Amino acid sequence: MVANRLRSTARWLLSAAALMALGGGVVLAQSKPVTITFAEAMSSGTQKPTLDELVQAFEKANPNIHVQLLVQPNYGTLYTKTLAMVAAGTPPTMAQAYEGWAQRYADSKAIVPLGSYIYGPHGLSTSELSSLWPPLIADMKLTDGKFWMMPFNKSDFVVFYNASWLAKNNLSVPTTWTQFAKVAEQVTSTANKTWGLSIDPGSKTGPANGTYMFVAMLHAFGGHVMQGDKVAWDSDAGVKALTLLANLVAQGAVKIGTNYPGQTALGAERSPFDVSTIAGYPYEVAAVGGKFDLKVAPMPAGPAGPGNVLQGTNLVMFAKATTAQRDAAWALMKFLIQPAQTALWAEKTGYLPVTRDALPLMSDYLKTHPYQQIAAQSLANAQPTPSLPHSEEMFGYLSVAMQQVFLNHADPKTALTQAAQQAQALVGAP
Amino acid sequence: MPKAGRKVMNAVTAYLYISPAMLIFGVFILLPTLFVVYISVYRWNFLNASTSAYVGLANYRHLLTSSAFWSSLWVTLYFVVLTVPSGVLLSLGIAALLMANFPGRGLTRLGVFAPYATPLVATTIIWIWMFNPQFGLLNNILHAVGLPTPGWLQSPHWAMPSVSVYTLWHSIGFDVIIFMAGLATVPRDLVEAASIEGANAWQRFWRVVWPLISPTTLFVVVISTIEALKAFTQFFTMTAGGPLGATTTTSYLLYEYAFVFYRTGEAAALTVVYFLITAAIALLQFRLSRGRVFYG
Amino acid sequence: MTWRRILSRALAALVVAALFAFPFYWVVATSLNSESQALAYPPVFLPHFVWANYVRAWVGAPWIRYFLNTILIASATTSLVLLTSILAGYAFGGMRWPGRRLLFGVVLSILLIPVTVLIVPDYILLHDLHWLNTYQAQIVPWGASVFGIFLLRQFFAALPIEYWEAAQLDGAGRFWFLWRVAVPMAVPVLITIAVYIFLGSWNSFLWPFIMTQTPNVQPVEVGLATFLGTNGTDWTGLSAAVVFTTLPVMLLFLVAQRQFVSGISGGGLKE
Repeated sequence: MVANRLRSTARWLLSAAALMALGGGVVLAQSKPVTITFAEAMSSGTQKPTLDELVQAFEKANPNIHVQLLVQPNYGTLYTKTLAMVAAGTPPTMAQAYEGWAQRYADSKAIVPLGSYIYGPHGLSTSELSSLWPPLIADMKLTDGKFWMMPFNKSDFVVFYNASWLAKNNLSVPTTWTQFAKVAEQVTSTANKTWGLSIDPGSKTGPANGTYMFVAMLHAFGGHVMQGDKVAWDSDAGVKALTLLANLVAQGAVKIGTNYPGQTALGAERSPFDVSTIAGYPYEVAAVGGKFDLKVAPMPAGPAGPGNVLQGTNLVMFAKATTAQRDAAWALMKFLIQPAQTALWAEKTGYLPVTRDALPLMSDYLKTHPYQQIAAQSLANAQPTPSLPHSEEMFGYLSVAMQQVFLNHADPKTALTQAAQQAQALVGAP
Repeated sequence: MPKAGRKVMNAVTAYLYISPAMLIFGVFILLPTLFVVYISVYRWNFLNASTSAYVGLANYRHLLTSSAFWSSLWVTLYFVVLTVPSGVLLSLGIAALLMANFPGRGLTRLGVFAPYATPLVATTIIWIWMFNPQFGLLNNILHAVGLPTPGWLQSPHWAMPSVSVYTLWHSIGFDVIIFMAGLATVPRDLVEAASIEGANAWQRFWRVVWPLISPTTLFVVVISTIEALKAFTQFFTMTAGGPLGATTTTSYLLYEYAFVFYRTGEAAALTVVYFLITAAIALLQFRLSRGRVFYG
Repeated sequence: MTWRRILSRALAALVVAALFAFPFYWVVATSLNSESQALAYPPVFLPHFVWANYVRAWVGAPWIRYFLNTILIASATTSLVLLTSILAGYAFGGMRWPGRRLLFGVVLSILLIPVTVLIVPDYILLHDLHWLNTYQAQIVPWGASVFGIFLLRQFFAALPIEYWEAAQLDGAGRFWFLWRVAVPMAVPVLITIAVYIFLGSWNSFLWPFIMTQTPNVQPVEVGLATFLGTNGTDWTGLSAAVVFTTLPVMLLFLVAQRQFVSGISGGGLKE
């Protein structure tokens, strides 16, 4: 396993070197040194060292450019800091952004559209652009249909599970939510202190993994977050999905927690499942620590088929920067989506490689790490979250609805409808 | 120098001496406080201040008709009720305990005060871990003896009591020191005289000690209340104002409005209202104590 | 007092001390256990000396930088506070001048202003001064203390006027009197204020959290909050971080507790 890993790493290292030698880095017209700032939240686990590595490689290929990483501990802080910097007139040159954040920045004219860069002299070739996964290409646009973002760290949901546990108890890997519910109930035991799954439904100020897991379920049950301009999670599909979860919580088969509780519970062998994005892969491996056979399965299907949700952020470029800085930022954005770089990123952090051209470079890795294939296949069903400036707050209301149902035993229909009404008020609000 | 001249020199010197402190207070505390009042009558655009629009009292009206605001007042009141009376009584009791000499007295005082001297972020982490519903020590013990295991910081019902327990643990030490100072001023002969008159321990305390330490008690009540109204860090790290707003005090709501939802104008209006409430409560406490505090 | 009384006091005190100190024990124990021991049921009460947690936590963030920043910021703030408090405290307590009471009232009213109120306007102000993400932003706004002024005002007011009158007869001015006579007498109070401000600066969180962005100027509390954000599931590593970020404060407190206590209690406490 390790030898294979080393071999595959060596292989793509060579291809990376080759690509860079062939001009994988962008050559800038001027030779004056320029410094750009990149506000990001890749602060933990393997994310930080890998991003450092990528940036160093970029700087080596572009000696005139110095990249200053402004790393924040989490996305909430990243958003707060970026907004504060924009307000104070000193935005970073580029930053990670969710679709909703980007819309907000764009509405305040804080960021620039990327069309002129994509189609410009140092832009992306037609094949480079079309090799990006289709959902990601769509995700690069905002409501006006223009390109405003470049993909960076993208993921979708999978089910991590304890294969040893399931095998020992003759339980099969669930492929539908109904089956999932059954298995979760079967493994729940107060005496043994075991249960099916731990989730974090988030709160008013911040949706969490559990919130988006519900969105994936919503899709699987045939529902949508938005239908046009209208919030639509209170449809029958939403109610059915939430009721299923609520029943599990009421029976103690699903527990509520914070700080990635699913990962802790899975690692501590208290629950056989964790539903999380593949970006959690390195963390799950660390939490499991080789204690049992960890495997990955696609998200269970619902009555309407498989359902998933696109997660992760894109990159935006801020308006208040010099031309040289913007060109340098574009160079970095382009560098990061090159097959060699995105393959390295994927293998080290568990995120998806953003372009299909990276897959040949990862063939050894993919053979021994099927989760990447599963995640890539699931992309077809992964709808992105809406790009509305107040989407965080809107999903916050959804989190509140989930909390009310789980903690206060509220009626799912009432809770979802109320949350939908409150979220609706924010659609189109300045 | 003529007397009048000396007086002027004196005043000038005094003003000069207070100027460094007043400059700092003025620039970083008083001016911003006024600025916040200014912001409160605007629909302030945090991202682009020049596009802010004057809205008069609209922010105040919004605020006073929002359930989040009134609910935060209730939550704050709940927090004050949970922490101030018990905090005052517990610290008085512990202070009284520590007044006499006995082996281990110094160590006990150290142990009681240590939580106050240590940083809030660090100590809240300890308690978050102990309160963890699935893996924390508290629920493990409860489970072992067959008692129900509540969700603590994740239960809308138990979140505030949990944070209150933490707050008491953290702040009692400070109040104990103050009470010990107050108790030390009670003349021994008065207490002994009462004992000779046949008063038992309870009567000695209630009739002699309690009135004499009433200025101290008032002081502790007032500063505890103000601290409870100001409290923020523990709500930030332990519960983030949740679950479902169960621990969203007015101070925390202010942070949410300003830094999470960027409703800067409303946050400013909330600040003004909040400041008025805090000042009113402090003054009220002083007023109410007029007849009861014995200054000797 | 009878030995029974002493015994019952000692027992009660033991219970109290144990309850207060237990969380500290627990975090140390957790920091020295493996992940599975920390998550185990029945709970594992004794530490197993898994030092790896400390290593992992230590390399997980630039703690040395955080500590150096904290010491720098706390020392500078303390020095500035002592300076401003001595001057203002003496003016309010040792001198008579028009406006004295009113201005002191203004100073006291500052106690009612929560930090949260000041964050937004001060952020914009500090940006205009180009002080964001600097040391000054964490020092200067806190360079004056109501507590310091209050204590020194009280002290200087209680100082018998004879000292000043005698110095005046010798031809001394206020400044000379203040620094050569009054301040040396105020050393115990100054130490109390210093300890209070130093600890307060060390323990501060919200302000440095908002006003700084990078570890090169951030203090240890912000570092710990960042660490909590990035390593939130690593309870044993997190516990180790809690232990080594709290230890310096604990030590300072142990060394200086006498001054601290006597200052708060106004020197009236019999040891």
